[in-house]
Amino acid sequence: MAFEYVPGNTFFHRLDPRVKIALIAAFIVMAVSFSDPIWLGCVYFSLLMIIRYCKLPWDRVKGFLKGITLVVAVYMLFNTIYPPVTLSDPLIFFYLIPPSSLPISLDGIVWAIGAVVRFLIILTLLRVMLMITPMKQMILALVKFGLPPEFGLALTTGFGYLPVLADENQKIMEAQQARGFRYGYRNPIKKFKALFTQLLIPAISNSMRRTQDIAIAIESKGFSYDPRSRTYMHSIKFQKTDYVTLAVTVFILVFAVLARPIFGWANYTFTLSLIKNLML
Amino acid sequence: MIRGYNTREYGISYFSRLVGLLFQDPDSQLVCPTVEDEVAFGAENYAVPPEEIKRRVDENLKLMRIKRYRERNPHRLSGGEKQACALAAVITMLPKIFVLDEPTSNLDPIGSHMVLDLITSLAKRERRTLVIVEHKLAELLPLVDRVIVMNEGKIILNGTPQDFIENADKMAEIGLKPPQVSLLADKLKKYIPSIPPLLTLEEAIKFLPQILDRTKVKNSFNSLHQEKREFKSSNRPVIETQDLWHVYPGGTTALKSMNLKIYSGEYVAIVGQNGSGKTTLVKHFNGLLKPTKGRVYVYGEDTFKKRIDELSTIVGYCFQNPDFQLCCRTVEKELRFGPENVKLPEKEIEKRVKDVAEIFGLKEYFNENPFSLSKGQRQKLAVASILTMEPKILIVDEPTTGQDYKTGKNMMEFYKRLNERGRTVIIITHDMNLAAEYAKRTIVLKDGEVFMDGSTREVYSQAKKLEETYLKPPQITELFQALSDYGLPPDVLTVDEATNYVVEHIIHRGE
Ligand SMILES: Nc1ncnc2c1ncn2[C@@H]1O[C@H](COP(=O)(O)OP(=O)(O)OP(=O)(O)O)[C@@H](O)[C@H]1O
Ligand SMILES: [Mg+2]
Repeated sequence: MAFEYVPGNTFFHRLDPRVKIALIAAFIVMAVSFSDPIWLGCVYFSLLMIIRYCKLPWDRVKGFLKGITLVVAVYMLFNTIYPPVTLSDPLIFFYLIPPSSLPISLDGIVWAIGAVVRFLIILTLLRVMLMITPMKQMILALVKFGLPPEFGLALTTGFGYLPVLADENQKIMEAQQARGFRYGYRNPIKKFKALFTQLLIPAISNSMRRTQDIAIAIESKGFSYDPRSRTYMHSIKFQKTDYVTLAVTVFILVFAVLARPIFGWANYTFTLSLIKNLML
Repeated sequence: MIRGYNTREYGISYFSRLVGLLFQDPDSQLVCPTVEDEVAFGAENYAVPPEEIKRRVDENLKLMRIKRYRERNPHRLSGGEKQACALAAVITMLPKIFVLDEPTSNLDPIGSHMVLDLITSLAKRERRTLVIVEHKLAELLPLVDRVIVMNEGKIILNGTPQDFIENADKMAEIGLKPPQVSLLADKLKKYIPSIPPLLTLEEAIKFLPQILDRTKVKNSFNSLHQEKREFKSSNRPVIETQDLWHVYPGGTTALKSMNLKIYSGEYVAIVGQNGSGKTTLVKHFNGLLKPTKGRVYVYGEDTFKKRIDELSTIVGYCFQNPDFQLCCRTVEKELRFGPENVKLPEKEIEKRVKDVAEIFGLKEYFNENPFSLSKGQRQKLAVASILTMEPKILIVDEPTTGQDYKTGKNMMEFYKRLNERGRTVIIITHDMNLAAEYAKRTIVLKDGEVFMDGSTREVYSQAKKLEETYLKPPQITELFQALSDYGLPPDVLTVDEATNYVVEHIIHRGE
């Protein structure tokens, strides 16, 4: 499931969640400010290295990527046809609708590849960070940044419950199938109809019941007794490595902000001119 | 009124500091992303210092045998492990008053014994009040100071455990089951009027030798009939697993190289400690889970290639928690759901629904919403709604949790009748008394492997081996095993058998 922590004890696992949030910020700034596929590719590669280093289960990352293929494809097509930058003198291959609308150009493709990698960086990044940080720590960090503790606690239980609710819908379906109800249609319309008629209502009433149960359960454990002075079993504290990592992160952040506007680096024209030179 | 505070005037959060509540259904009270957070949650809310929380959490996780699951989402535990986690969370809060609603209904026998022992001694040590709602009287009665018996909303007994067993027959009438030794004493009264009421196993072990005629016993038979499993040669296997492995997505290996054959017409009990893989195993029998490695054949067909709904007329499976299974708006619709799905003729459906509703006493609730029923009733309904499918193989996961003794027994009687009419019945249970009384074959699982497999008598006569896996034979069997020096057979399984045996070998005083 999307929000589940993968226990481990690597350098990244141990980082203070506040540093992790800074790291997320640095990566996002890089992803947003760079537009060159090669540069963005390098950023994505370093993310993959983190995944490897933390020994995260690769099939879960892969499964997630597979799940968004369609979205990525559509995103790519759109960016090729309508790049949100004005292309100067694009090298046009052909038009989707001849004679002259919806052009497919080298420039558009290069831009679109960059856009897709950017999209992937942001999604993979959030997922990886959640996989190496217990939700509770992440929220504790947010509380330290000023999020009201009641809200933080509610988020913790909410996130704890999301995968469970998804599981439960699965269980409801399984139980119905165990009583002869058929979901396994190849025909998507039939499948949708089955889901709509049989799953929807039990799923909704189940989640409503659950919400009520949770409310009672957390109240009976003193949730709203006095959230502001509650204690935390594991508090978070900066270690030496955290300071060092934070410094490095800030450096990356500054570099990412300055690279394009000041030095003109990491613009998609970098790859574009490389390719054009090769073709000549 | 709780400790002088009127319960109407303060919120739940205020009281839970005083009163720690454990609800019956563990699924509905696990709210945190990890087991560790879950156990710490309440104590954190009441601002217990972190060091103290850490100490309690460590201690309680260990006591409840769930320490190795610290980082796991509590909903990804086995049924009993979930319950242990919920209980650990309440204990960690260390409230002034504990109110525990069936805290051990899903725990294995030695585990529940340990847990009950633990909380009663904790309550004594910390001077806390403990209120336990339980059906496991044999374990609990020796531990408590006061017993309150309720029937139909009225208190009918409020006294000491001694008072309780002195009224053993009256208690049995309203569906409660006194400890087996108390029942034995009660039955022997007919022959020996002077017999005192017995409460604990130890008392019985001390007392029984006094009335046994040693000379008679010595040269008697040392073991009851050596029943062998009858099915092996004559019937064909209806379920067969070949080198079955199952690994859950998180990486837990729940089943290791299982090779099992279950024959047509058998009545099998699958027992084993919490997390030993019982639920995981039977979920393979109707295709809910697919083998990670190996094969499962049902009536000769590989389940890998079958959809769950295709198997549903052959294998009926009742979930450990009935709430996942109920999906209709009224009890009647719930009962009709299965047969309608497989398109039975209307007449047949009506007949089945009527029959099953009769047996389970569900008629009067026909138009009610399943979720307005009590947990015990929901459990019944869940079973009933499988039975209207009339599957050839019936699998029930913990059929008697949350049921009083009488209902539990009625359900088992019903399965027995089904079995006699040729159905294969597989039950998973932690209630050794019922398993011993009804199942002909017992399979013991341990750490995902078959640990013992044989006739029920064979299995329960090996108490030492059972102990390794947190199981123990019924109390009456334990009693006879403890007195094996007197020549008592180590494999009696029920109170009736035991009574008959003792009566044959009694010293008839005054004769
Ligand atoms: N959804 C799940 N994800 C990961 N691991 C699981 C899941 N369900 C069960 N397990 C693990 O698999 C093992 C076997 O679980 P299973 O539910 O089969 O036990 P069980 O014998 O039915 O126990 P119980 O008596 O407590 O119901 C346990 O170690 C458990 O922690
Ligand atoms: Mg189970």
